Amino acid sequence: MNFDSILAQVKRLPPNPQIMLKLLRLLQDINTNPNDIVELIRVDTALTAQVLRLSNSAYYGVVTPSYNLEEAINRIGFRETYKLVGVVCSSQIFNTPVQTYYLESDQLWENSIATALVMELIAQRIGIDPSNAYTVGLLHAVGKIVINQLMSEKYADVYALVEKEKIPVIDAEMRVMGFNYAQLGMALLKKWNFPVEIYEPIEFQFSPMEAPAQSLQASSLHLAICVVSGVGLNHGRDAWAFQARDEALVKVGLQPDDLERFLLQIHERLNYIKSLLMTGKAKS
Amino acid sequence: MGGSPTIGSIFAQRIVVGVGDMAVSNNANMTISTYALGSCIGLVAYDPFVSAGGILHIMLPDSTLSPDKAQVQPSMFADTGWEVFWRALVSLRVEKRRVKIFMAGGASVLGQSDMFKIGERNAIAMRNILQREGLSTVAEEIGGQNNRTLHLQLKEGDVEIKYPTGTKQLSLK
Repeated sequence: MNFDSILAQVKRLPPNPQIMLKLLRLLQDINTNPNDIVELIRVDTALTAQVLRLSNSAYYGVVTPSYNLEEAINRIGFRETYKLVGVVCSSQIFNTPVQTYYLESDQLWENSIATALVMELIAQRIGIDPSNAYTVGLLHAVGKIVINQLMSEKYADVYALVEKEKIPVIDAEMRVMGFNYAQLGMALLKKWNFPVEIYEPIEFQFSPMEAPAQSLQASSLHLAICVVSGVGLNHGRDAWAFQARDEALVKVGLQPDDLERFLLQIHERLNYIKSLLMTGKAKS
Repeated sequence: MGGSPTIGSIFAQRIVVGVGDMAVSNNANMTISTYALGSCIGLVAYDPFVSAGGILHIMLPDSTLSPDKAQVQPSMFADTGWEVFWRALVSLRVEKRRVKIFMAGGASVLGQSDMFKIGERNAIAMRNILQREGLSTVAEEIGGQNNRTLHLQLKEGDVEIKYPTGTKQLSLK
């Protein structure tokens, strides 16, 4: 399947979150000079304003708001800064109605941030890179935006097949269109030069054991999608039409109880997610 | 007069019940709503005699998972949630012999996996509790692959169940 030719048919691709890619590289390089991070963000005035606004939110316990980017970044730390940049970039990609999937404005954005946060929780628990995991969660549904641009009419056949045969949405997309949103997400991120650690888990989010090199990350994403669904943030039509893979739990080394505990943990962060959405939206 | 607001619409009020929360009321102008029930269960109770009722939105079946959490947020779990919900309903003179109960949610993934059957387990836990209390549901909208949103209008006990593709109506009067 030539995904590049499919992407070439899309009139308006989502905005490329290059800044995330650059920041991710800086974060993962132990020789990075902290000033490089500040400078990278400062280049983008709108982003700087958003990062300042978010870093001054109540979540960070700010008493005296800071309007100096360097100071704000030092206060909340680089990883939190990266997450806030992710919130801003994902708002540009996901904060839109996605009619094909029956998603109202905000819903895919909320789902993406929640998935990113659960990915981070899982990563911390099993000892994989939390910033990579966060990015995978944040961008896991970018293929939905592409499909929404491509084919709204034909998509009714996907739902008809899901209803009739009780099969996952992802499988119905394959049968009707010859590709699915996980694959298109992968293709887009690859085109944007994101590394294999990011795009491969996204491609195999519903079949994590088939991922050639990233099955641990893909399994984590699979579990994160389950947890986010359980807390009511997987919106849209037939949002539950996927198969949960027991192997993912074994691969990651977690118990079913652990998923339920993640549900409680992410529920406690719902207000944080809502406040991010509100603060992020106020300026976008 | 065309376009004039009705008295009811002027005084209309709404309570939104979040995940792991509950609300009861006997205010006839009140609508109680809960959004995006996935594997969670929304339990709607209404006593037509006193026009009082409420919604409980539980996320997990059993409080033994986290007794600490159950202490601060009992509505999170089916067992502790039912206790606080029923107590609140009784304070509005809701009685077991009259109460009508509707249950919705419990969406589940496809396939046979045991890993993520929280929706089914939530529904079973809630049904067991109701049975133990000598109660039963008048209707249920459980399972499937879609999220649901519920609105309970206290004046008449009308329930609206919203799916991504449409709406169903139910009367608990």
